Amino acid sequence: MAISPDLKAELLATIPNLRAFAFSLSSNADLADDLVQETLMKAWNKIDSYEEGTNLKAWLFTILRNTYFSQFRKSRREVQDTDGDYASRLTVQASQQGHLDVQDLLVALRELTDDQREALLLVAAEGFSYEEAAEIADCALGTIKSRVNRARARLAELMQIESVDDFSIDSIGMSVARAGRLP
Amino acid sequence: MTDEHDQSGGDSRPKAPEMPDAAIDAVGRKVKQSYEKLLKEPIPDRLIELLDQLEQSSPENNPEDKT
Repeated sequence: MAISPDLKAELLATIPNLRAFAFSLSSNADLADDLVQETLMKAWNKIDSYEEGTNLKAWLFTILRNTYFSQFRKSRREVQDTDGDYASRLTVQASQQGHLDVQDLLVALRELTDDQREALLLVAAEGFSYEEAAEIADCALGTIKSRVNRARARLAELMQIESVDDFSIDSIGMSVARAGRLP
Repeated sequence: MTDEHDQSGGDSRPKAPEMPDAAIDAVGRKVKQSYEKLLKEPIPDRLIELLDQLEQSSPENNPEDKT
């Protein structure tokens, strides 16, 4: 169970991904960092079960999402009663760069079910293959595909129906949305 | 095991209208673009310190624990 400097470096390099995933999943910056911390501790404690050279990122993501869905989601539900305000406020606090884009992403992601959000983030945002995502989310390949498709369709629908300003869609997205809506 | 119907689907609405592929591609791009900004956020010190602590607490680096 050698914990090589390489492995530590690799863990460190994965932290931004773990944080981005945790944050997008939970819309809560504090909770996201707690989740990453918990993930790193768990990973370290069972580093024996990780085979060096295999997909460390996928292994860590599995630990993180399992932790989130088993332990952390409850606390999120308690604060989920409000409309978009809460997430928006948290996002403004959390995103040091104050990117509106990131806030838009979180608000849009809240329109999805937990399953769909997870699937979309793994595949579309993180770039995991469907196979990897299915393994991480512990579901069938067909299920993950269907979740990603539904998530994409739902967000595409929102972009067209909601006020375009709300999403501050980029120029490409906006022209697409218009093309879909105008005669 | 296929759960074609996620119970959590929240499908109180009628079936979603067909989306043009271009709109769906745009969603993927948009998500990725925003997500990449999140990836650029600096790692908080507390997480870096945590890794250092964990490293120091690993048996390998603790001579007293060596058997």
